[in-house]
Amino acid sequence: MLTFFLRRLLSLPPLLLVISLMTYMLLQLSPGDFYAKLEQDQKYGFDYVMQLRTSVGRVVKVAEADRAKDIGSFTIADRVYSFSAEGALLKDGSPVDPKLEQAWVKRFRLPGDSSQLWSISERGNVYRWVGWTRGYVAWFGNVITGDLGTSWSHKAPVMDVMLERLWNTLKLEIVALIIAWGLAIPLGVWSGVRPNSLLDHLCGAVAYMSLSMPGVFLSLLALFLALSTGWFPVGDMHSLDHERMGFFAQLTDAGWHIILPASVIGFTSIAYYMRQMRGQMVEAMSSDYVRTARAKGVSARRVQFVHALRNAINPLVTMFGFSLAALLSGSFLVELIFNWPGLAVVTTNAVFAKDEPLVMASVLFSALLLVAGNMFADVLLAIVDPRIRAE
Amino acid sequence: MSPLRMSPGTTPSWTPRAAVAACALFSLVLAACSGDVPQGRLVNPADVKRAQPDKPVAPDSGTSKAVEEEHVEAARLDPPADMNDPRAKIPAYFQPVQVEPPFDADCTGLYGGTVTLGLLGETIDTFNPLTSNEATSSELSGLVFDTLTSYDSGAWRSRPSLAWKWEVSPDYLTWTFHLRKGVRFSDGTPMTAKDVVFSFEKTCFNPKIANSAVDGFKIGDAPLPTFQAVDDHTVIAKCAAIDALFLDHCSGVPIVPSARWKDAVEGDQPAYNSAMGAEHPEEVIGTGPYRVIQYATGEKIVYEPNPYSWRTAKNGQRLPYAERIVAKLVKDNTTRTLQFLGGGFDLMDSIQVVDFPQFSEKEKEGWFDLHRLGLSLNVTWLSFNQNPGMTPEGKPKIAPYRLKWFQDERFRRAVNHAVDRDQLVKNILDGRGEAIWSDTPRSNKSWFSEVTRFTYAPAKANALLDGMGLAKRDSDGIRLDAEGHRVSFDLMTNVENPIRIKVIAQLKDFLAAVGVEAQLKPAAFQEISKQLDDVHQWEAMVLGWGSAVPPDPLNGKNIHLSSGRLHVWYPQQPKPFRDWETAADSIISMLDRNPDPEARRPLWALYLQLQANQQSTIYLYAPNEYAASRSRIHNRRPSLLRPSTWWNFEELWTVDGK
Repeated sequence: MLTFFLRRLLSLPPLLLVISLMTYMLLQLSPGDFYAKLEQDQKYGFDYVMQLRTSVGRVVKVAEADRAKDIGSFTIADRVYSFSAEGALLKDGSPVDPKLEQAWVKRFRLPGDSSQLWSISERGNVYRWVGWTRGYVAWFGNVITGDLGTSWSHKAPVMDVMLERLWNTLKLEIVALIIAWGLAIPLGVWSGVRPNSLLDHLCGAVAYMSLSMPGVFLSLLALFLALSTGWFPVGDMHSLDHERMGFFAQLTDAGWHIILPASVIGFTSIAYYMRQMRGQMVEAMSSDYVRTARAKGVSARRVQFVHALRNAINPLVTMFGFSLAALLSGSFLVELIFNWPGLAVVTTNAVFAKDEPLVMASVLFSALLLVAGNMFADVLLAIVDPRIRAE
Repeated sequence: MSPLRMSPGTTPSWTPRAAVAACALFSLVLAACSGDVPQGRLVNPADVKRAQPDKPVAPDSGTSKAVEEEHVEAARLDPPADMNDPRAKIPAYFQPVQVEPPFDADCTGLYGGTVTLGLLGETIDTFNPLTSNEATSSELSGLVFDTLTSYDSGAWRSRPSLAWKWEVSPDYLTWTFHLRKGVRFSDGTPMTAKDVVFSFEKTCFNPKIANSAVDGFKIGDAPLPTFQAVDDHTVIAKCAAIDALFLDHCSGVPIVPSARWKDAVEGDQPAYNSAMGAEHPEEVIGTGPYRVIQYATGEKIVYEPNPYSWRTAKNGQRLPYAERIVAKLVKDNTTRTLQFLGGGFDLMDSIQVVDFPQFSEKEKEGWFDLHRLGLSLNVTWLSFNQNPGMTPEGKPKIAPYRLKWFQDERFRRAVNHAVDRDQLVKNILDGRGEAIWSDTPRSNKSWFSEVTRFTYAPAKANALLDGMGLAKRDSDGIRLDAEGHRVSFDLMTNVENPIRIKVIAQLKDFLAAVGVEAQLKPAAFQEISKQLDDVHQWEAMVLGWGSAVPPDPLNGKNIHLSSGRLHVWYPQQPKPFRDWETAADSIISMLDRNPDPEARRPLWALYLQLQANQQSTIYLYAPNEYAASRSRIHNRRPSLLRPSTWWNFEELWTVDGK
C-alpha cells in the first residue's frame, strides 16, 4: 500500500510539469494577452499598457543606453531604423518621432532572431517581450519557492483570491454531492434489485431527464421558478442584509440560498451514478454467490446489502474519486447563473481574460485535486474490497 | 452588454470584455452655449438644472413606425419630502463640519434606508480609481472620492465640487482653483490645498504609478501642468499648452489625504500602486458622501455615510440621505434582470434592448419605472480596410485589387446605398433604435449635427458599382472586376456578440442584392483586436464605439486622428493619407486647443460632414438606452450618461425608510 502511494506521489511532479507547461504554451501562443483589451480602449495609451505589462514581467523595458547595443539597426518596409547613443529612435540616420512610426515599430522582430518580439511605444520607450520559455522558467522558479504570483485582474495574490472563494464553492459542491449520492445510491440499488418494477421505470425516466437537460437550462428554469413562486431567492449566496441577522437566521438564510443551485448540480449528475449503480446491482444480483447465499437461507436484505452491494460498489467509488477532481471547476455555469461567488467562475473568467498567474494556479490546483481524488478513491476501494488490499 | 462602456457588447459577463474604445462626443463643460451654426441642425445644449430630455426629433426615417412609439423619459421631479417628518432630522452619526461656501444641492429628502444597485460584474480590481482599469470600479469611486470639479450628468456640464470656484487666465494656461473651507476626509483630517497638490503631483503625475488619468494632461510634447498651493485653500495650475478639456481631465484625479499616503508614493516600486486593494476597504479614505465598510468578494460592496460628509442641501440638510448603499455584483445579465424583476435591488442601468418587452410588461405592476433614456451614444459601424501597408514578409496587407475597391469612394457610397438601416434596426433591435449617419447620434445633445445621408437606394448602388467598371456578373450574380475577380470580401465581427452576428448576416443579404458578396467571418474578440492592432489584414469589419463621460469629441481622438491607434480603416498613418484627413486632423487639433464652446461646435459639425462624405466608416445604428429604478427611491434623475440611475446617489432616499 505504501509503495503504491509513493509511486503515485512520484508521478505527480512530472504530471504537474507537463500540464503547467502545456497550459502556459497555449496561453502564450493564442492571440492577445490580458492587457490586449486595454489597447483597444481609447482611454488607455500604448505606453500605459506597456507600463502595466512591464509591471507583471510580460515585457522588459530596455534602458536608453542599451538600445543601440541590444537592437542595433533593423529594416522594416525599406526603412532603416537605429538608435542614437542616447537611445532616441533614428530613421535612415536622422531622428524621428516614434509616434508617427507606430505602424512599423509597434511590434517587430529583428531579421537575425525571429523568435524575439520588440515594441517601441508612442513615447519612444523600447520593450523586449518575454518569450514563453523564459516566462515559464520565471513562473516555475517562483512556484518552487511557494509564490504563485499576483492575479492580474484581481490585483491580489493568487492564493488569497483562490482561498477566499474556495470555501464558497466547496459548500455548494458538498451539498450537491450529498444530494446526488444520497439519492443515486439508494435509488440505484433499489431499481437494481427490482429491475423492471414501477420504481425502476420511474428512476429511468428521471435519469433520462437528468442526462438530457443541460445544466444551463435547468439553472435558468430553477431561477424562473424562484422568481414566479417566491419560494426561493433568485440566485445569490446570502441575502443583502445577511450580516445584520442573528446566528440562526444567518444559517437559515444560507440554507435557503444553497438549496436550488446545489439541487441543480446534484440533479445533473444523479443519472450517471444511479444508472451505474443499477447496472452493477443487476449484474451482482444474478451472480452465483448471490444464488448460493440465497440457497444458504441468508435473508434477502442481507444478500442485497452485504453480498451484492459490496461487490457492485467498486466502480462507483472510482467515480466518486473523479467527482472530487471536478469539484472546483464543474459548477461554472451554475455559479454564473445563480450568482454564486465561487471559485469556478473566478478561474473560468481568468481563462477568458488570460489572467496568466490565476489560470496557471487553478490548473495546478485541479491537477492536484485529480490526483488526490484518485488516491482517495483507491483508499476507499481498499477499504470496501479486501481483494484490492491483498494486491 | 453593458452599453456605455465600449465592449464587444457581449451578453454573458464571462466573455472577454472588449474594450474597443470610447469615442463619443461633446463636452459639457464647455457646451453651455447655443449658437447658430452654419452646418446642419444642432440640438440645444442641456442648459437646464434637471435632467431634461432633448425634444424628441421626429425621425426622418420610418424606423420605429412599426413598433410602439418610444418616448424619451420626461424629467421626473419628486415632490419635496415632508420636513416635519421625524426622519427629516439630521442623524447623529454626522460629525459637525463648517463648510464654506456650502454645497447647496437643490433637493430635499428623509434620512435612513438602503439603496441597492445591481452591477453587472464579478469582482472589482481595486478601490483606487487612479489605478483601476474597470469602468465599474471607476464609477463607484464617485461615492467615496471627490475631485476638484465633477460632472453633472443631469445637466451635461462640469459643476463645482471641492473647488467651489475657478478662474482661468485669458491665455487659458493658468487656472486658479478656490477650495471650500472646512472639508474633511472620512478619517477626520482636514482637506487642504496640500492634498490637492499631492494628488496631482505625487500620485497622478508620478511616473512610477501607472495610470491613465495622466494621459489626458499630455498635450503634444508639452510638459505636464504644474500644481501649486498658494495658501490652504487656493491651488494654481499652470499648463504648458492649452487643454480644452482641462477641467474634465482634473475630474479624473481623486483627491486623497497626503498625510496617509506620503510614504506610499516614494521609491521605485511605490506602494500606492497596490494601495486600496479590494481586500482593504479601510484604506479607502476620501471626502465623498460615503465610505466603504465591507466588500464581500463576488457579492457586494457596502457603503455607509461618511460622517464628515460636507455636502448639504439648500435647506441645510446634510447629504447623503440613505443610510446604506449596497452595490450588488451580479455575474450574468439574465440573472441580473430576473433579480431586478424579483425586487432584488433598486437601481438597474444598461438594460438590453432585447429585455425591453419583459420590463415594460412588468412595469405595469407599478412598483418600478422603466426609464426610456433615448438613443444610446454607443454606435455600431461597418468599415473597409484601406491600409496600403505591407506585411513583414513584404506582401500587401490587402490584395491590391480589393484595396482598389475599398479605397474608392464610390464603392463605399454604393455599400451605403445598398444597406437598409431602417430594416436593420427593425430586424435586429425590434425597432428599438435608430439609423445613424455619423458617430454622433442625435441624442448627443451638445454635439449632434446633421450630415449628408446616403439612404437606402439599391438602384443608386448598382449605378455606382457599374460606374466603377464592375458591371459584369458571374453565374451567381456576383459582380466581376476587369481582371475577373469576384467582388467578394471577408466580413468580420466579434463572435461573442449575438446582435452583431445578426447584423453581418443582414449585411450579407443587402450586399448580395447588388451583386457584392460578403463572406461572414466571425472571430473571437482577441483575434479581432489583433487584426485591428497589429496584423491589419482584415477586409471588412462590423464593430462598435462606446461613449465616455463627458461625451466630448476629444475623447475619441484615437479614432479620429489619422495617427490614431483606432483610426480603423488605416490606423497610425505616418502622415495623413488623404487630403481630407489632413483637414480632419487640423480640425481635431483646433478642437484640442480651443476652449471656446461657440467655436468648437461648428468645428465638430465640419468634421462630421467631412467624414460623412468619405464614409470611411459607415455608421449603421444606435440602440435605445434603458434603465429601471424602483418607485420607492426618490430624487431619481436618470441620465443617458453612465451611470444612468445613480450618478446623484447622495440625493437618493427611500420612501419606506428601509
